Amino acid sequence: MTTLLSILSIIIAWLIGSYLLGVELLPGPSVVFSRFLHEIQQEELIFHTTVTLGRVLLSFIIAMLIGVGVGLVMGSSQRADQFLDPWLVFFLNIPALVVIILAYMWLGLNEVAAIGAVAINKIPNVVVTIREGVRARDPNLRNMARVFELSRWKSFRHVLLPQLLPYLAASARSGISLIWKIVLVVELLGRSNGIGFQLHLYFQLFDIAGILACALTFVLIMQAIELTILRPLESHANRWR
Amino acid sequence: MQTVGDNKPRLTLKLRQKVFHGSAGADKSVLSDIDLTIADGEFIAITGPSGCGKTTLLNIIAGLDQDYQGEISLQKDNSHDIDCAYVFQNPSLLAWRSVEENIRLVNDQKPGNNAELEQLLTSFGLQDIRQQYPNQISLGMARRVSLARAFNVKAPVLLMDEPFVSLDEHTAQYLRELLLEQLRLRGGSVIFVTHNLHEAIYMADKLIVMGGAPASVIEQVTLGNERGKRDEQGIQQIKAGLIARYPSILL
Repeated sequence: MTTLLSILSIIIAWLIGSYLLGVELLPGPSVVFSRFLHEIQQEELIFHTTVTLGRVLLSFIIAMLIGVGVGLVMGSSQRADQFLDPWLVFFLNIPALVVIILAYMWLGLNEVAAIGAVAINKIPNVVVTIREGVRARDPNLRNMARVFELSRWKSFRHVLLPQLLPYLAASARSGISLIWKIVLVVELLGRSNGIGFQLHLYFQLFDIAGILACALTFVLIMQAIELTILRPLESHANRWR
Repeated sequence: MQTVGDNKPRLTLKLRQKVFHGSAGADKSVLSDIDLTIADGEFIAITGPSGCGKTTLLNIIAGLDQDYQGEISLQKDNSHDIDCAYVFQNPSLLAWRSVEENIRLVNDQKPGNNAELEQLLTSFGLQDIRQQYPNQISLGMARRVSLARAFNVKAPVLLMDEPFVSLDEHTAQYLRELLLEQLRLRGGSVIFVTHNLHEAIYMADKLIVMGGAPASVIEQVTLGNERGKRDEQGIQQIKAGLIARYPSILL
């Protein structure tokens, strides 16, 4: 009920804004929605969306794998943490745009540079979250695992991993939303397909309804991912609570 | 039941010193010159004032704390899975695994060993709650699970750190009897840390009183082989004698 009211308030604010700014600058919900319905029936939007989602997925997987690996190492070894911390600070604070531009200049305008640049932007955040999770683990359970001589795999699978799940879920969730935003920038700067490229085109044509329809597509897709993948995973992981 | 061919003790501890390294060079010596031997099947209770380093001592024996001077030797044979089983003061169960999974975890129970696990669950009265998660059961039950877990591995020594503290007396006594019965059936040596002098005298073959700063052994009392059979009067007598000798430590 509250959610419905909230969505209604967005639509009303949108209508007022559209009235104040004029339909050229901010087309109303009905215009954008019919444009959206029109666009999703075109092969072009589907194609660009698929390409972008592919990039999002690939850079997400790379960023999570590397980020979780480095986070585990930094969380469990003090020396590794001390050594890697300046690197982490460096990568946390380097602007996304700088990474993207340098990647394109060094590697050329290709897929490797695009996906690599996105992953590099996300990895430090994953590392920080996972390191926090490893540090917060219960020392009693760690002692239990050591005394009963659980194998490395067993103590990872049954003792450490369940304690990390909330941290993994948090970094996955913030990761997906950060990554797709950066993917659009990467596409805008150096790719000839994807939603970012499409937005660039609409920008040059001053097609505001098109831009909003693209944005709406992505918001809906992200909501769908949240509801069908992330939430069920989370409640499965928390079933013991 | 294990039998050792020779009469070598199960465990020999010669601890010279244990120091906690504080910040800014503020080192504090907590344990010094503790010699301990435990025969196979022997039940040793350790008591002493809180904060005197009893848990630290157990952690050293368990191999959790390796920053000490001294040596430990443990007689282990092929039938043993691990060095020491440990019942922690905090039950230390995995909240995200069921009771049964928690017990199963410490032993790579193959399907053929299910009978053994069933028997363990039955003797600890855990069949009815095997599917439940640790936060659905009482502290007394959680302690029981932790005890059953320790018995699901074969270890030469069982370490226990205040395993029955903060339980009502009825539950605590039930668990004491359960422990003694399982020891009768399965054998094994025990080092049992407790504040409760009565409990120590009731169960142990040998009582060790720790005290001082840094702490060391100030008295070893051999109680003889009357584990669990000692009557109330006998316990009170030994207790009164000890308290009269060490009022500052035991009161």
